[in-house]
Amino acid sequence: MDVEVKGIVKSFGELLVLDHISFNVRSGEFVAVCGPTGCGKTTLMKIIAGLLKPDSGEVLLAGEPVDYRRHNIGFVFQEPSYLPWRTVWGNVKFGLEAKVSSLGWKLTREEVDKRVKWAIELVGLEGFESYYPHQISGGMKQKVALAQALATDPHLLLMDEPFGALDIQTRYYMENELLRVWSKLRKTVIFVTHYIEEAVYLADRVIVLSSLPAKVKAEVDVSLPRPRDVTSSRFVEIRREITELIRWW
Amino acid sequence: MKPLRSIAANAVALLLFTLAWHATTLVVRSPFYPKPLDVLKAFCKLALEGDIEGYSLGLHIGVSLLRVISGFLFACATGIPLGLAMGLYRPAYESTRSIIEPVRFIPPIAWIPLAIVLLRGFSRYVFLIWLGAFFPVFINTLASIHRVSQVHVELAKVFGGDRSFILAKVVIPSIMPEVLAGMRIGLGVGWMCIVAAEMIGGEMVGLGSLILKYAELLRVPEVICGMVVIGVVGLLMNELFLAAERRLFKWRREVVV
Repeated sequence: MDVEVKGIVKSFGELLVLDHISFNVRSGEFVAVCGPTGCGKTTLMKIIAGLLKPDSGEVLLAGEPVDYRRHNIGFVFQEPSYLPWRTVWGNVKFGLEAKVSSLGWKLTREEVDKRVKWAIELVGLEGFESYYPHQISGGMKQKVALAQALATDPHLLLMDEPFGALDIQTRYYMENELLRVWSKLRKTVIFVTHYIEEAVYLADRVIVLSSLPAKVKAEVDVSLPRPRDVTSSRFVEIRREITELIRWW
Repeated sequence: MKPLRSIAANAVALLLFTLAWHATTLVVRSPFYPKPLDVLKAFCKLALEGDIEGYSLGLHIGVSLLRVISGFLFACATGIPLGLAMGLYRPAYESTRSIIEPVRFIPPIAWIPLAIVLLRGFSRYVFLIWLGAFFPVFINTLASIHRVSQVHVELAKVFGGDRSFILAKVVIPSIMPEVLAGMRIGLGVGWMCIVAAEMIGGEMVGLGSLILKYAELLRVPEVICGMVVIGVVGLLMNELFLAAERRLFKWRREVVV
């Protein structure tokens, strides 16, 4: 689903956080939003999801103002969002339960179970269905969050620094897992990160934000075939280009 | 500590305590300071033959439990919904603090005259135990709303979950551990009110009545026996509750006492 972010302005009290942010995302595109820590990336994501209202500007999904009741949006949060009292299975099911109970989705119990099973297998969590979150690793918890979002078959997947809390090895692994899933489903993804390498490794295009108040500094196309080699000269070149753009010190 | 070690250590402590108690009776030598063995004898007599009016200890325990549980359930039925409502709608609490907070510090015993004048029969017990049990349940429920993670609420919202979905699937599961802990404390406090409640009941059964009955006769072993039974029943109820919490909340790493 096409996304149009048009002139978003947001301030918290006196503090201007987002200053006329505009960019577009094509259907099926993987876009990374990259900027320094504390530049309002999370705020921007919440506005795109419709969880926060901007002071001015609008977000259009397939030409309509964003509404999480009408549009099917998957959101993977930066903070741990798993429900500790639910098993892996129960967590993945959570979004579907909301859709059925609040939005009137007509799904039978079997259809819900089928989707949950599909999503769990997709991210490779089979065998862990009856585990509680505190029994599984940090990477697996983020897989639960991803499966939960994918189980509802979202039009748009928003990921807000989903791997920020993971160690480097797990992060590489999760990035590859995400690409594996994405190449299968070709969802529209907006992925926020402050790791430039992660952005260049994952995305078709990188939207570079400045530090506060955040503006779009540049849009960088990453037209490299996947799987990408982080040591290839072209990769390093793009990474350096973005690093120069983002340098705020 | 490992369970077996803990049991052994407690057995030793209990034995030492009883021996120390016995030793002090040899020094004090008052007819109103009984030996542990006198209390044990009184216990056997009360359990097997009943008290001076023929009511058995089991009946005393059962009747007291019924009264306390009734008052406790009433406290849950009022404290949980009110705590939930005021926790979710904070202004309701903020603007009635001047009523709630002082009432909270009036001990149940202070209510006895009013209870005697206004209530009779079973309702007196229920009222006094309700007073003791209500506030732990209510305050814990009220305070637990802070425990609801904003991320969980936003997660439910972004999936399209409405208010009732968020209440049922996010808020209530999040606060259940606090609410149950409040219930456990409330049951304990309610149980501690039993003597005060039965002081005014005017009936001859119940552990509180048993203590008062033998206090009038200056028979201290039976009085202590009643006290010990109240203590032990309280302990058992608490342990039962803790076991239920551990079972229900096995998704938590541990249930803290």
